[in-house]
Order: sequence, then C-alpha cells, then structure tokens
Amino acid sequence: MSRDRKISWNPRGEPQFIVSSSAQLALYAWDESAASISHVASTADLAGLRCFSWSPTESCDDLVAVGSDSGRVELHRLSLSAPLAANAGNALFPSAPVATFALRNAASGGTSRACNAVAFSSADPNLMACGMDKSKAAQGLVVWDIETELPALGIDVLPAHVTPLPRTSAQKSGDARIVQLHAPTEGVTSLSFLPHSSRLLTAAVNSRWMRLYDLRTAQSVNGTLPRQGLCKSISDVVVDPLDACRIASVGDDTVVRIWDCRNLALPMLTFSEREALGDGARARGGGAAVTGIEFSPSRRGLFASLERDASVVRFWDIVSGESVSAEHNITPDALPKRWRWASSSGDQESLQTSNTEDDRATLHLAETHKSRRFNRPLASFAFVPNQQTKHLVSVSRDGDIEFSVTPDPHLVAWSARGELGIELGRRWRVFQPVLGVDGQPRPWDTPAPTSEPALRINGSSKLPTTFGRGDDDGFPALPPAPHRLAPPRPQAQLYSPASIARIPLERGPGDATPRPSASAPLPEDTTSLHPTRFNAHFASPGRGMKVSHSRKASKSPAPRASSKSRVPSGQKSSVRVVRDDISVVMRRRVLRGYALGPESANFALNAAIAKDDPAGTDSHKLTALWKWMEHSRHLFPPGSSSCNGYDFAFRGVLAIWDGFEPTPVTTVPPPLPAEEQTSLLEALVDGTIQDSPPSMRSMHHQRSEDALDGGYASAVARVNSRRFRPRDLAMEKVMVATAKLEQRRLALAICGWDLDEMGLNDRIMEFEKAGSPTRAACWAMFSNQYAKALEILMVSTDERHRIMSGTLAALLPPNAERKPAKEHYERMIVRLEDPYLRVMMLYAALHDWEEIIREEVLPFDERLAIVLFFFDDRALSSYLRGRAEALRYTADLEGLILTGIATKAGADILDAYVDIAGDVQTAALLTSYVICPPERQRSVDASSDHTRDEERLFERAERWAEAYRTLLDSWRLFDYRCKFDIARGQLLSEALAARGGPAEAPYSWVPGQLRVRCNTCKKLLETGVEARNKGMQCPTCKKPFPRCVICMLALEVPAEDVRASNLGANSTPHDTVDDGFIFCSTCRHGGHARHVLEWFFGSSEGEDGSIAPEAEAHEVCAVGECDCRCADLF
Amino acid sequence: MLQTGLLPSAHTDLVTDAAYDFYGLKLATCGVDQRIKVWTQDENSGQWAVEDDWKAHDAPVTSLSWAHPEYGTIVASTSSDRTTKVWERRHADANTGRRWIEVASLSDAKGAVRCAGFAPADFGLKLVTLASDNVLRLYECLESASGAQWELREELDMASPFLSTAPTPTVFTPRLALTAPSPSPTSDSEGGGWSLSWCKETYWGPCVAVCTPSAPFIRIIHLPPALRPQCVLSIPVQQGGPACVSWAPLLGRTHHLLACGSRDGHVRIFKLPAPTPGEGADWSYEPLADFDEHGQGNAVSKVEWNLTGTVLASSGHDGRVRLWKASYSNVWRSMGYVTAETSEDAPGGEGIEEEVED
Repeated sequence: MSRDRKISWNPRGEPQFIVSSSAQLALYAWDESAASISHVASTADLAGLRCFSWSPTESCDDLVAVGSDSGRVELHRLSLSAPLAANAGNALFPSAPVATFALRNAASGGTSRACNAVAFSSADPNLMACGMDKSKAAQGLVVWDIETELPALGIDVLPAHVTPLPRTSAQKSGDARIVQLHAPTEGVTSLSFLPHSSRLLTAAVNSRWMRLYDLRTAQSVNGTLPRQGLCKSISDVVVDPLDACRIASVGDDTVVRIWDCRNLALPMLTFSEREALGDGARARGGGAAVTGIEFSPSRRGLFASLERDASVVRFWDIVSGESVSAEHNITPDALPKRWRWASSSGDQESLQTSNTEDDRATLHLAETHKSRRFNRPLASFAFVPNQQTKHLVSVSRDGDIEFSVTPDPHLVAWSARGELGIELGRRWRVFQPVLGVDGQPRPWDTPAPTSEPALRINGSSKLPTTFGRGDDDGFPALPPAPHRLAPPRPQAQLYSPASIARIPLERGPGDATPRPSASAPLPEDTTSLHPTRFNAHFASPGRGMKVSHSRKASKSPAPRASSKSRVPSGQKSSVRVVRDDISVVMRRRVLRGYALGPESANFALNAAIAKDDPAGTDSHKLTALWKWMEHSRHLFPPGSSSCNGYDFAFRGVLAIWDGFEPTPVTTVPPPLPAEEQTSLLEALVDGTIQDSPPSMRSMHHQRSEDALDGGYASAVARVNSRRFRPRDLAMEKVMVATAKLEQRRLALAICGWDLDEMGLNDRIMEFEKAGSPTRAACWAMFSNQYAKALEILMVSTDERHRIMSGTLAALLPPNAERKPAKEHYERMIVRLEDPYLRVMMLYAALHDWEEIIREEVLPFDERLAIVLFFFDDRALSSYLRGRAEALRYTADLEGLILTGIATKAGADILDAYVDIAGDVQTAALLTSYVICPPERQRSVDASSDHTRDEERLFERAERWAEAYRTLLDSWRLFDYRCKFDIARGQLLSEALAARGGPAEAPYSWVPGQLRVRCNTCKKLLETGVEARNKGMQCPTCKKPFPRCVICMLALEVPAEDVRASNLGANSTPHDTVDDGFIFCSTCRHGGHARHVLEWFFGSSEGEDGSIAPEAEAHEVCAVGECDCRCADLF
Repeated sequence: MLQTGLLPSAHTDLVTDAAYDFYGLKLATCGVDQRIKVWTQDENSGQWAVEDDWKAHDAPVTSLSWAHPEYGTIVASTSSDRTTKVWERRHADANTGRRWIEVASLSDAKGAVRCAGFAPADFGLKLVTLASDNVLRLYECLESASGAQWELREELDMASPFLSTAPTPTVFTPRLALTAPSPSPTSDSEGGGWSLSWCKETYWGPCVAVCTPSAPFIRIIHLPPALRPQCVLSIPVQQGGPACVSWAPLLGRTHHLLACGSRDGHVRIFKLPAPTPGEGADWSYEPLADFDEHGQGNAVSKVEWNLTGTVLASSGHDGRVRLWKASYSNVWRSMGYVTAETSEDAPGGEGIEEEVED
C-alpha cells in the first residue's frame, strides 16, 4: 500500500520543507526571491514509514523522527544521509547514524504495534511523544527523552531540559529513555504538544476522545483522569501556534471541531464543508474525509482544511467574539443561516454549544474561501510562514510540489481628495494624485505663533524650489509663477475673509489665487512633481508560481528594473484612472481658478484651465464652450443683452434662428424670504415701489421704449445694427439667398464668424500662421478668393499641399465643369488625410455641402458658419434642428452652442454630460450664468409649460450647484465655495434685475446661515436696520445686549454699511467685524470678536495695524468656571 | 502622476476596515487586534502620521464609519463583541494624551455587529448598524453636542417577510437546484456578506442599501423618520448573492449607481433611475454592467466608489484591486488593476508594483 505523501514545513519557520512518500523523506529548500526549490537531502529505504515529525531543536535543522508500522521510531539526520542517498548502490559507505526507539516486549504488549503519530515539544526539543496503536496490554502514548541519543547523531549542543518531568518507574518501562507512559489499552491516532509547552500534550484517543495530558503528573492510570472531551469521531489533532489554548480536531465524520484546552467539555466551534455552501462548496453525501488540517503559523485565526481527493484547500477565518453572558447566548436561530453551526443534522453537541460557560469567548467563522484549484488532487499541504498572504506549499499525489498564494482581498477606500487607499495585510498603501497646485496658503491658515514674519516671506519665495523643478517626464523647469510670490498675509487675519462681504474678493488680503486675467500665467500643473517609485512588473513573485518537481523547471519571473521615469505608455491605465479622474480634475481646476465670474476674463481663464485637462476628458470641447461663452458675453455684455424684451445673452444658434420668446416683463419681485416678502408686498400696496433704485427705474423706462417696436425680427435687426458697421459681412456676397438675413448675421456673430473683409483676411492669415495652410486656403476658397487659396497652398512647406493646389486650380471655375473626372476626385477625396484638403476638394469638385459639414473633424463653430453661409433657409432650419435633436442626449458640450444652455435641449445635453463625465462643476458654473429662478408669483395663474420648464431647469441647476458646494466643502475649499455663492448671487440678481425684479435681493440666493435673536424679546436682529442708532441695545425691547466676557462692555451690532468705508477709506483700516460678537455654540459664552480671538490665539492687531506684542493664548473659555474649549473647532 | 505612500505596520494583526473622513484628511483603520488607529494627513506634503491609537473593543473590530464633520469628529466602530461604539475626538487629555473618547457604546445587537454607516448629515446624527443576528438597527443621537445619548429608533429584522415587497422575487432556488448535484436541505443558505451603503443624496429621504448573507438580493430600505421603514426595492443578485454593496454619490446625475460585488466573483453595476420624490417613489433598476474579471469563485469582498461616482474600485479574492470606469459612450470598462504588494515585508520595500492589463 502506498501511503499518501505528506508535506511538512520547518517547525522554526526556516524556508525548508520535507516531503514524505512511501519509504523516503526528502528535504527541500525554498528560495522565495528566486522562486525556486532545491533538493537538499533525502533518505530512502524507510520501510513502513507511517509518520514523521521534524524536530524544532535549534541545534540542527534536519533532525526527523520517523514512526513506522512496526512500532519503531527512528531519529534521522537527513543531511547526514545525503551521500548515502546519492550513492545508494555503494555499500562502502557506512550507514547514516540512526537512533532507534522501540518498546520492549513488556511495554509493547507482546505484539508489534504501529506508531501512528510522533511529535516533538517546541519548548523542550528533547521530548518526543509517540502515539501507538491500540493494545490490550500496553499504553498507547509514550514520551521519550531523546537527549542521550543526540551525540550519536552528531548533535553536539545538548539543550537542557526546561523542566524535568516526573518519570514513570524504569522497571515498568524497561527503557531509561522512556519518560512517561500514558493511555493504557488505548490507541492514539494523533498527538501534539501545545505550542511553547513541554508538559501539555493533546492527543486523539480511541477515535473518540480529545484528551489533554499534563505530563507533570506521571501517572494517570489510577489517578484522576486527564482532561478530555468526547466527540463523535476524532482522528487528527492540530494546535494553533499563535494561540496556546486552541486545538482543532477532525474525524471521520468530516466535522472540524475547535477546542479550548482549558475546557474540553465541548468544542468551541464545529463546522464542516457544508458551512461553505455559499462559497461554492458542494455538500457531498456526508462530506468527504478531511485528510489535512492546519492552523496558520503566521496569521491568527486562519485555519485550512483539505478533503480527500480534493484539489482545493479551504481556508477558514476564525475570530473570537465577546465573552458571552448567559442571557446573551446565541441560539442557532439567531445566527445567520450560512454560519449556522452544524445543527441541521441534529448533532447533539453543536446544539449544546450554545450553552457554553459564561466566561468563554465565542468563536465565529468570519469568512471562508478556497485556494485556487490545483490541477490534480492534493495529498497534503503546509502553510508557508508569511504574514501577508495565505501561502501554501502542497504536494499532489503524484509528487508535484507546488507553491501557491491565495491572495486576500484588499480593503479599498477612496478619499475625498481622490486618494485611493489599499490595505496590505497589516499595512495601508495610499495612492495620491498629486495636484501640484496645492499648498497655497488658505485664508484660515493661522501662521504658527513662533514663526517670524520674515520667515514666512522666505518661505513663500522658497516655494518655487519644490515646484516645477523639471523632472524625468520632460517637464522643463518652470520659472517661479508670479502669484506664488504674493505678499505674506497679515498675521492677525485669523478669521475667514468670507465674512468680508463688501470687499471685492480679488483684493482680499489673503487671496493667493490668480487674478482672473487672460494674460496671467496659470499656475503650472506639476502633476509629476514628486518622483515616484514605480516598480513595474507584470508578475509579482510568489503568485501562483508552480515548480513542478518532475517536469517543469521553475521559471522565475524577472522583475523589471524599477524605473524612476515614466513607465512606458499603455501599462499605467489604472494609475491614469486615479490621477485623471474627474474628481481630481475638478479640484485642480478650482485651485487654478476655474470659477464663476461675471467678467469675460473669467471665461478666458476657464477656457485656458479646461484646455489643460488631461487627455481623455472632453477638454477641447469644454475649451471651445468657454470660448464661446466668452464671445457671447462679449457680444451681449450684461445690462445690454436684451433688446425689445428679448434677452440674447448666451442664446444658442438654433434659438437665434428660430426665434424665442421674449423675457417676461414683470414688476412682481421674485420670491424672497418670508419677512421681506411681506414688507415688499406692503410696499407694493402702498405704491412705494416707486422708491426702487434708479437703475431699475431707468430699466423700466427703457423697456417700455423697447416694447413699442416689438417683434423678434426687428429686435435681431436692432442688435445687428448696434453691432455691425454699415458695410456688410465679407462673405455675404457668396451667401445663399435668404429670407432671414438678420438672423443669419446674428447667428454668425454667435459663432464668431461675422467677419468683414479685413476680419476674414486676418483670420485666414491667422490660420496660415498657425500652421494650417489648408484651413486658410479653404476659407479663402469659400470666400471666392481662389487665387489667394492657391497661393496659400503653393507657399506651403508641405509638398502635398503644393501638388493639391494644382489639382484644385484645375477644378476651380471657370474650369469647374469637367464632370468626367468626378469619380476620380471622389476616390481622391477619400484618400486625403487633411480634413481641409478634403473639404476643398469636396467644394471644388463636387460642390457637396452635405458632405462637407459631415466632416466631424472641423470645429463645430466652423461647420455652423459654413451652414449659415451656404445652406438655404429650409436646409439650414432642418440641419440646425436635426443637429440639436441628435446632440440632445449625447454629452457633446459643443451642442450647447447650438441649443444654448437655458433651454430644455441644452439642459438635456448638460444632463447627459454630467451623467457621463461627472463634471458637475462645469454644469453648476454654466447654469449659474443663465438659468434664472422661475417666477413663482406668475405661476399661480399661468401654469404654462414654459414656466414649468423654467422651474425644472432651475431646480436642476440648484441641485448641480448644491452638489458642487458639497464637493468644495469636502475639499475644504470653503473660500472658493463662498466665492461661488457670491458670484452666483450676483449673477442671479443681475438676471432678475434684467427681468425687472428688484436689483438687490442677495439674500434669497444664499440661504441665511445665521440669525441673531434678542435674548430678551426673542425678536430677530436685522443687521443694518438698527445700525443707525448705536446698537448697544435691542432695537425692539431696548434691553441691553449681553456683555463681552473679556471687556465686560455690552455688545453691539456693528453697522454693516459703515464697514466698507472704514476699511476702504481710512489710512488705518478698522474692520467693524472686530466689534462683532462671537459665541461658543457649546458653552454659549462669547464677546467681541477681537477680544475673544485675542484670548484664544494670543496676538491681536493694534489700532495702527501693527502686530501687538504676543499675548498669551488660552485654551479654555475666559469665563471663570467654564472649562469649555471653545476654540478647538475654530 | 501618483504619489504613493505606505502606512507601515498599521496594526499588529490584519486590518479589517479603513475609512476616510469627509475631507479625506483623516484615515481610521481598525484591525483584528481590536484597536483603532487614526491617521492624519499633512495637507501640504500628503504624508500620513498616526494621531491616536487605542484598544477599542474586546474582539476584532469589524468596521468603521465617520460622521459628517458638522457633528464633530466622530467615528463609529463595530465589533464581533456585539457592540457598536461611538468615538469622538476631543482635546487631548492632559494625563494620557488621548484624544479619542468613547461617547457611547450600543449593545443591542445579539450577534457580532458587522457594519455601520452614518446617515447623510441632513438627516441628523443617525447611525445604522447591521449585525449577524440579521437585524438592521437605526440609532439616533438626541444630543448631538455631546454625542452621548443614542436612542434605538428602529429594529428591522432583515429576515422578516414584510421587508420583501410584493413584486420582487423572494424565492430564489431554481437555478441553484440545477447546479448543485444533490440539493441538500441547506442549499438555500446561499448568501453573501454583510454590507450597507447610504444614499448620499437627501432628496429621496433616508435610504440605505443593505445586503445580508441570508438574502440573495440587495434591498433598498427607506427609513422615514416618522413612518415604518419600507423596503422600496430589492435587486436580485443571481448566483452567489451579494457580498458587498456601495451606493455612488449622485453628484447631479439623473440616475443613481449601485455597485455590488458577489460571492461568485462578479462585479455588477446597477442604474437606478432617480424617482420623483414624494409619495410612493418608484424605485426601479436596470443592470448596467456585469464583470467577472476577478475570476470565477473569487468572491468580491469590497466595492467602493470614488468621490464623484466615476471610478469604482473592487477588491476580490484574486488579491487584486480592480478599477472600473465608464467610457464616454457610457459603457463601463475595466481599467486594469492595482496590486500594491511589496515583495517582502522589508522596511525598504516601498516600491509599488503596478500591474495593468489592457
């Protein structure tokens, strides 16, 4: 009978393992870095080998005890027998030293019994325990002392016994080496010393008993019985090297039991393969015998089991729970089905598990999973000590040794900054997208109290050294960006400038963001700032490496040399995903100034920023869109964007062509907070609305004038006349006949193609200079300047262009009627690569406009211009509408040029864009420019589609804005969020003003965040109202305000309108905010802002603006008995 | 370019969960070693440093969740010791230097608490926990200033039939019977893992997606403050059942995205068209993607959306973290995988292995 192979890892964790087969033991060494196995030694001719155990002694690492069928146990040193194995036939060599332990007749019970198991104690390697087959006259468990045999085996260092054990009387055992004899008339199938113990020995006795022997008592025959637990079947026991008390057993009933050696009455946990049904385990009839179980030597609670003939190893994660009190007992019903303890079969003991003693920790199966499937059934496996992964070495029944790693799933988490964190066993790896524009001082950055101002200046001038210094990626070193050298912020500015409502933010003292001006250099994007160490290789060592003993040479994967430079393209897509994701892109955009702003410079800046978006986003379309926005803003500056009640701001081409409804003229104010609403309504009733600001009145006036004319066409004509010089557009002489010339003109203006002769020629020159002569030639040709077109092509440096010029010359009028060559040209067009050459050929040879505008490579505005010039009215209408419809559900931002933003179709495009690109930032910015709040007052009588659409649009815009605010918050870009809100409020009130609402209604756009209520009369204190009477008392109840906890003076409400003048005009700026009051929301103590800030932060600004001498900074509240740490969250 | 960093020896035993706070500047990790560690990131250098580290439970900590900063710096931790604890960062104690104080310990669960999640800030300081006694518990903090008083608002037995709304399939066996050679009585115990994920948007009321091992579907449970909780949608997850679920931030999109990893190694993405809020909001779903790149049988144990819901990271038993992203044609695609293992535990082994399959 050929026995199963067994594999065993070095008990001390050295990279060695032993494989046993029917009559031989082989020792191998494992080199993890090279992923190779080398044969070290082996010993053959071990007749009747039944079990073996590897001694944990430190003296040598090749001492093995071999138990045989005959009952003998031999100690072998594998490396000493190596020459023997190599020269098996050579009888001249003396045999390797072997120490034999065999029971004499008296002790052995007369007949020879097989030795089932042998084990060493790790605490005392001289102790060896043997488990013997059952015999009526002898003990089944023998403990030997091997010390005396060691010198014969060439082991010099003799480790002393840790604690001497009492001995069974020598007469009885008959052999001085026998220390103890246990388990009379019983058979032991498996045994093991508890980890780090020389006295506690656990054994599987008589296939029924889980027994724990305490070797300190030599006799157990007549004395008290050793601790034991009864179970249905037990054939194998293993101990957990990481838990001194945990024992696992398995028997023929295929159930694994986990025991606690302190209480063997019942197993702690029982489970079988059936528990893993959820993980694809098959419930075989009764389950297959479990042939191998083992605890991981390196990972707590990891247990593995192998079924007979299985080609997968199953892992179990066992975690210990809380100690359970009696009433908290787990009933099987309360457990989830999957982890139900094996109770379905009516197994008595598992039901009893729920009644375990109070002080015992419960165990759970937290998780189970399989190793990968091996090609052939496994005979045995062993854990390779490795903290990171489940590393196994296994041997198949044919003797193939295989190392395999069963990877663990890593935890993953994303941070708000786009950082990806991955758990690695006990460690945590982070991947941070480096923005390169980070690190700018933020308004609330409090300078460290110890740092001197001078140091800060140095610090800021030092900044460029860490910035754009050039790197391996080919980024040149950058000149220091001017904005980085912003003057140091005044030290006393401890609080956010968000409260500085009236100061233009660009002039904010701590504002380090670039001014939105088109010429300002952008903060250079140094995404490649930090030299990163990428160690790119495709196969990590140790992953599924197979070393097939007999057939395949191990192939060690050659790790690529780690490279500091950019890893070759194509393999970094996952990195790119993290780095170039929209979440990172949006944050970078904000930091570089992508923002809402009424000035056209803002649009240019946004366009420039969008241009730098990483590839793969819609950056060129986004850039085009912002340029178009800029252009449109330029055409229709705020305040003069409407004509005859038609508001042209940011209208799309389609709207211009088809016409749109005039902006509803209303005198009813927009929704306002309740209090203001009532007052305004009263004002309306009183007729005091006449007191509305002069700007508004003039607007009313103007509008009534406008209204006299009426009609969309005339409005367009008026806009055009406002804009165009008397002479016509350059291209108009080639334009098709049209009934809606004015609309065409305006639409062209929207596209930026309303050029006069000069302008057109300039643009052609521009194209030529920009290195696209074909583009220049194309437009020259469209404007019938054939000679010029050919000339441009002729002077081109590209030979193909010169050749093409000849072809084109032949085609152009008056020679254009050469039809026979048409087919030839068609073929030629297909082959041309340059889109403009194709267009020219299409135009000259075939005169096929339909084909021309199908050239998707051409910029959208150019295609629109072509359509507007050369399509007749009907074709133009159908083209525009068709395009708008086609673009509607695509995320094509350029479609917005056609549809405009504040239309249903435009919003649909934006919707699709947000859905796909996730760029809620752009959506929030764009819609803030155009989408006005609906007029709720009007909707009472007219629930027209228009109003409802408007409402829906506004609602969507609001949600985009809200989502964007949340994003900014989670990036801690509160100041940018405030700026966004302020700009948005300005734009919205502008829009309302244009519509005729009150020009100033800022409160309704940014929800009020704080209200002050009088403590006595509970009336709201409106800032500004009571400013005129010195506000030391409540304007309603005239009770004084609470006193400042520092200066004990009554607080006051500073006048809002005095502040701007105080700040702006005076040579010594005095901020009224300093006189405002602040309260701790926890202890409710507070006082003057400047006093409280001084109390907590120590420094204060003197009256003359100088920094006052450092005052002591406090941590707790200034009120005597209060120990609140008010400023902790500041 | 990415900067990579390594937080060495975060724990003395396996890390079981990790969570970033709202700003991404704090990272809490917990482990089998019963400890919680809080790390803070230097905003300028991007370096992480340990801020505090304490023994939190009497058993392995199973999960962590940060509350919205509006309520202070608060972390909830769950553990196999059947408790959920709430920790708040306070001023450093003068004697011990400890910053994190246990403000509450919730011990209603009758089994190991597997996961917890704070509700979006707008709903108040609320916490949902899921324990292996199959009960979903909703706690609310009554005094959010101290964070100490927590009241158990709802207890929801996930096995209870009322949760299975009528139109959704509750019986889930036929396919299994075909694959299992001998259908044993326990074959219906097919299941996945414990997982819950809040809808981050407040527009539709408090909604949480839950999966438990005993149910082969993801359930979306609406937890209105005054009314009974209701299962508004259940999404069957074929074969293997859900193991983890993650609800993407909405971020202005017109539809919700729900990702689900299952025990059979699939990563699935569902699209949930945003229902019109109000009475009887109609939740529906359509499958958007189904990937099996993790390999058959390699259960997917974690799916995570990034801030914008544009990249999905999934982690499976093949030991890889895979990234998924939608293309411009709105087709979800694999973006390769990251294995961040170092070859050895060596301290100098900071190199990262970047493996990408295209």
